[in-house]
Amino acid sequence: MINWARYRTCGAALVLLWLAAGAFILQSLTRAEEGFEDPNTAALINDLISRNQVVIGQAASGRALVVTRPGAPLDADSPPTFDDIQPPDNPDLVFNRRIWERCLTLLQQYTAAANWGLAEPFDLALQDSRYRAVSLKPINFRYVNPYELPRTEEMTVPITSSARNAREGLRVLSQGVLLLLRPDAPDREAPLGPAQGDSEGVLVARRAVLHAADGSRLRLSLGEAAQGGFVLLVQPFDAKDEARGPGRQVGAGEYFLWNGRSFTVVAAKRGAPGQTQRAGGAGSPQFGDIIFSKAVNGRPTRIHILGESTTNLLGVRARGRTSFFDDAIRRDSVSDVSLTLVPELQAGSYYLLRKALEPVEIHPMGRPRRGAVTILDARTGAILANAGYPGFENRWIQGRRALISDVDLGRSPAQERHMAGSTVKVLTVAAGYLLFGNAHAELLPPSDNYLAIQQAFLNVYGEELGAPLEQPGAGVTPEANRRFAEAGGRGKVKQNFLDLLEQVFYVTPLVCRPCNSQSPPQCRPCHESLVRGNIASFFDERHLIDGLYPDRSQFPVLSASSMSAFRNYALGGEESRFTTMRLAAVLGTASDGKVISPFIVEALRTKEGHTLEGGGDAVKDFPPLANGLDSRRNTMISGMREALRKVLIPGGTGWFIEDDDSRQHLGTKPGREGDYGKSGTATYENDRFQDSLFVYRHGDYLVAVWLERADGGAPVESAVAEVLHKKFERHPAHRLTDRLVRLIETLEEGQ
Amino acid sequence: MPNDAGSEPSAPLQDPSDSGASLYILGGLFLLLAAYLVLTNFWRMADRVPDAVVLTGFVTELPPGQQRSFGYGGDGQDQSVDVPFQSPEMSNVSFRISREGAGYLIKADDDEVVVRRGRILPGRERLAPGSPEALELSDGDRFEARGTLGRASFTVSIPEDSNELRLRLARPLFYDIRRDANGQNRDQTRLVFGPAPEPLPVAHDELLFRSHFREGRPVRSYRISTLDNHLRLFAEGELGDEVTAQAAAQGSQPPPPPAPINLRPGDEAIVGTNIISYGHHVRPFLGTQVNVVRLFAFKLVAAILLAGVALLVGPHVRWPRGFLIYSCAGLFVSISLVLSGRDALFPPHSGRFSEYLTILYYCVLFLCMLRIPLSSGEETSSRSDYLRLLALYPIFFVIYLLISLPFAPTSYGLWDVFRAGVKVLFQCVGALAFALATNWVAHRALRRINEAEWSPSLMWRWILSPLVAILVLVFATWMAGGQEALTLGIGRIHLPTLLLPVVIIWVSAAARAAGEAEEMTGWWLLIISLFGLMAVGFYRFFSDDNGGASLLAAGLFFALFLSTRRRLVPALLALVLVVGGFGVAWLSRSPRFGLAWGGPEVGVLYFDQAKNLRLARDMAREGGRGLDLLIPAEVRSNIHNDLIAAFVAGYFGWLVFAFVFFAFFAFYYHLFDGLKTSYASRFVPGDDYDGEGYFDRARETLLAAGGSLILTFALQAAWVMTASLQKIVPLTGLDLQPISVSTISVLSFIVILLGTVTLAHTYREAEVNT
Repeated sequence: MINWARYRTCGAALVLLWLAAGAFILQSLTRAEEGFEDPNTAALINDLISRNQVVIGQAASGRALVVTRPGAPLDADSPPTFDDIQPPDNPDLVFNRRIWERCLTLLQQYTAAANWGLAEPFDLALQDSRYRAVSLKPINFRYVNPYELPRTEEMTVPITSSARNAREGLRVLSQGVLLLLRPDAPDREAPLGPAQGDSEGVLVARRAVLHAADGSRLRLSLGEAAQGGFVLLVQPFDAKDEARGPGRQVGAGEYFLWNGRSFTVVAAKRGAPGQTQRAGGAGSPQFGDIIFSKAVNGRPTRIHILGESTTNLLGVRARGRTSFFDDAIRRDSVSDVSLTLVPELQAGSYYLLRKALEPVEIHPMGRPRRGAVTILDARTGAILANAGYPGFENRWIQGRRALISDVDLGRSPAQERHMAGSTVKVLTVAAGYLLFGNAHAELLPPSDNYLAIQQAFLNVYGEELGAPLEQPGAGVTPEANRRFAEAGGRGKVKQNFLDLLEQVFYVTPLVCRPCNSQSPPQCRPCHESLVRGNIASFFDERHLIDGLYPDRSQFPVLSASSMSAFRNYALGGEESRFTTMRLAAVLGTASDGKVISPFIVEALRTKEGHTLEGGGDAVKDFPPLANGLDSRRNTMISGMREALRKVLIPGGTGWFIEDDDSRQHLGTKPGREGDYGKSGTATYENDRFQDSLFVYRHGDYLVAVWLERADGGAPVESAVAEVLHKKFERHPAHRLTDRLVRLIETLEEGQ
Repeated sequence: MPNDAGSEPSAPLQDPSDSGASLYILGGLFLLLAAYLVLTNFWRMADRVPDAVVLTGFVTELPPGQQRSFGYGGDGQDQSVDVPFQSPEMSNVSFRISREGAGYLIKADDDEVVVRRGRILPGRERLAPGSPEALELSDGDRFEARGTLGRASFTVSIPEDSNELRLRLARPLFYDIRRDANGQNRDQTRLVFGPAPEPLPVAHDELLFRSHFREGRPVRSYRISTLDNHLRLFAEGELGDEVTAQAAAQGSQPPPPPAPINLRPGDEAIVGTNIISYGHHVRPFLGTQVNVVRLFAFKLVAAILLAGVALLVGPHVRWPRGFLIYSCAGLFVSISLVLSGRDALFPPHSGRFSEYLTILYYCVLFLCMLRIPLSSGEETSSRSDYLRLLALYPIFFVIYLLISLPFAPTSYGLWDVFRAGVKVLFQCVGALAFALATNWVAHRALRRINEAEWSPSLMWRWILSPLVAILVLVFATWMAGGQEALTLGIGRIHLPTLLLPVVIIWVSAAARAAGEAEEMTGWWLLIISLFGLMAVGFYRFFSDDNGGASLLAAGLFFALFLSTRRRLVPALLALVLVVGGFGVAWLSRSPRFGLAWGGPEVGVLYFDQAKNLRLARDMAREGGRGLDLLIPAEVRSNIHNDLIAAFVAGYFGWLVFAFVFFAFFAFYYHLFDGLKTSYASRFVPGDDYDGEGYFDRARETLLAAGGSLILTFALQAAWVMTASLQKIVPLTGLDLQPISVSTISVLSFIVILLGTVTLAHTYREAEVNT
């Protein structure tokens, strides 16, 4: 009965089966895992949104997805059924019940991603007094092999702040609060709390008092520790102002709880570069005072001590990957890194940025307004602060599983270039001095556009414009157009101006594409390097370019093909774009006569224990571009300082409206007699709100501020008390600059 | 009548490799590899055992008439929940549970909820016809919440005389607690409760739990100390409160200081809305501190001893080309023990190692008992077998005690040991009784096959009876709320595991008998095929189990193919199975087929499954990182089925995977070829064999059934090994036997496969003995 042939067949089939399985497995090894893509569904969702078949937006009746603010939770509720949907008109879109289910799934996933601040998958627009999604951004479900990622345990390189610029004392950190208690600060008690109207910020004092909403207080003061150094003395008081117990001492590296908030105490100590700051008394090399590693829920986690103020500058870990600067450190050879940042200035810049922009959000634009602040040390070129708003809330990024590309986490606005507005006139006038030994410096205090264009034309083409412009507004006239046709254009740009632009002010005359764009950049390099010299070999240059280095600033005179374009560039509009860092550096160059290339790594220690310093070439003399440049430079320094000083006093544009509705000039306050700066606004077509800018010099501090569409425009100026035009809508960058200078002054007091 | 043309029988010659040295060399190589993997991995593991705080569930007060919401919780006011979940995979408001009268009702919110066979759609889809609004929950119920971000399974626990409702997590969350070189948690770990806690910029490690405290529990944070191998949670007071407490302590009414919570290893405590326990692996043993993971290697030695003793001393457990088969099985079992042992370090499946060893023990014991020739008429042989088994039993018992007892003898009294011993005694007696019953039934059936006069009425009875039994079993399972398994008081009966040998033996015997019907053979084969298809289809229809049904279909085909010389009916059956299989795949719209054959947009649609599979493949691609390989929680739970091949490649490396891949081939090929060859070698020409040998019916049936099982299991092994690594091969949910750490895997491999093969291999001798 037995059919042996069949048994033999089965034996052979077994061999074939294994060969086939082996071949399948080998083939699978050669394949890379790709992201999920579904262009049809994405296009279909966009189609449904555009035809209002799906409503995503703030709901008036709880029937739609609610977006209260980007990153806030969305609420999915009752989308229409498949039978109620009107099919798309586009015949190329596949639409059936199954794909409709997929649409719903995708919408939920995108919604969840947006809920946790991981992305902004929808473009929102204000319609009928509520935000509604107008389109879905095509987002791939990008994917990386998590096993190829660097181990999180290896992310242990502590990042510390500048020891050179540090102040002795103790830092007290809480959410949104940084107190620097210094023994040499003025003897005062700095208040902080609801009673003062400040719930967050940076304070520098010898003592501080925190006020709670229930009337209780907490007094913080410095004491001397038995083993040297400082200790924090905390004394709680109840609402009746009676002390609750004898108080307590809290050492560096410890924390305490008060009124539902936790406070951490961190030591600050001045030292030489390479003597890194430690986050208190942990004694471990793993704890720096900007970023360190600790286990949170069992996972090694990078903690940004300064919170959101550094997350978008130095990078966060999202989806198993660390971005930006933190990822660029070669961990196999670096023991720890010290940055030039001053914690008080970095955190203070961020908090003040947020505070400056929040009031303007009563005029929403569909996403948070952005802002940037850069503070440089004019002597050394060190970046003391480089804050961009909005930042990342680290816990949101780490909390939920992300489904989407971390590219959408975005860069800091401080690393992007923006329209410079009238702050570009600093460059224009300074270049005039350097080229011709004289310039229309008188244009600076009133920010005269007419003269600015004339000066720019002379600088760029070597000839006077010699044609009238419209008044007011310095609009282009037919005569000016004719004159441009004669003397202007790409071929007429003077080489000495281009040399000056690129080698002294480090600004490109071209329109640059972003470094990470698919097409090759027109200008090289397309970024400003912040880590140079032998120290650069300890970092991954590609990650630095992607995440840390700011865009190259551009004054694209070579692209000016008409008088109109030239006019706009000369006034800091359109593609005349600068980073706040470059604006601050240009002010430094114009006022000190030095070429400034900012740097951020003060020092690093190698695994072998060697300390390497960075920034040696950050401030240097002008290159030998032309005869007589030195003498013209001296003229420029005196001329610029004098003219820029007038900006800050009555008659200049450097004013703002204080809380008491009074008009304040930035340079008239005590201690600011030697300060100078320049205001700027950059206008948008069909938008009342303008970008507000300011560049400012206080002592050795160079400050540049940019606020996106935060300036309400001229109507406010004529009606300060007008209800619709709040005081924070006029020159908010001026006001912010004032607050920043105040912070610098408190830091400097007693030094 | 089908025109089936039979081929002429021709017995194979004895395979020269049957006793060749090459098989011993190959087997020795596999055994050496098994020993190497076990020793290196177990000793490495012991140095990396973490202590852990384990979140095992959530708890809330739920008085009658009230409702509680559960979920991750959102920032919006309408998204806050009464019991926040720690797991970020959960939706904002996952589900709600209300207490109405004496019962509890669950309603879905953002997530779909599955309770037993019931399914509640998420809130926004609840308008779908037929979807219930709510389902009842009772103590011990299991339910699952499925959302776009993930899923979680819970078991409901309702303490008596209490308003407390506890939801136990099927996959608890583990958080390591670090210790310094001296074994202490000097910096102390901070445990903070709150819906949106922030990590502190201090050196302490932190555990952040999304938890609300119940009324009257103002404490929000604790400091964890792990002194003396106990976990202590000290309440962390507010600055002012601490001082007030000190001041008040000097007055007349000192408030009691918050008492620390103490947890011994394995103990539980309710903190906030969370139930947490303490996982700790260093235990006192004879006055010293012993890392219990090192004892895993001793457990393994015990298991090897057990298997060796059982197979050497036990009665007649033999397979063709036994050394190679034994060494291959040893390699598979070793790999499984390493993986399950490693899993013990990274719970939630810390019990798998012991469970695997336990089921291994029972299955080997069962195998030994299965081979006692009850049909023997020779008293001495039978008595000798029983005596040997009797001598074996104390050895089994002692070894099993060693395996099953906890590793902290000092914390267990004599009474505990006695109770464990009694439990083992009863379990062994139960296994013995079941094995004897199986043995008795098998021998009766084989004798019946041999002696029966195959009249049409007997044929009908023989064909119909198993079919009816299968249909009743499947229907009863469905009625009892099960799908692929019938859950009874004695345990869970996995239907494909039970039905596969039934279908194979049924079809093999019937087809063998049909061969004696001469002109009617084709019709009988057609009827058998139809009835077999009916059984498989019935199971598939009621279970929705594509993997199990395909296994039954493969068994059906192989049994028919090997039991007859006709061509047409097996060819028709193959055609029907292939076409029907693809049809079912197409119609069932299963995510598994979609992921294999659909485009990338299907990956979006079935994101969870796709991510799981992709993580497994990624893990395999990074193979060979051993203990350094961090396995995501989503993948970890799959070492009991499809993704096991990725675990083997990822954990041991591609070289070891290649060895295992080859070992599986060697195992199945030589088992199949050896079975065939050994049958032929014992065949005495002119004895009874004439092509329609009456006396050999049982042997031929056993040969066909054994061969069919081998081929079916080989197909399963090749498929499962390929599916997790190659995208276009759909996942099946089946095991890689016996590496997959599941009862079914071991039971199928040792009892069903090896049991049947050893019966087929030795049956001739047993009959000769009679």
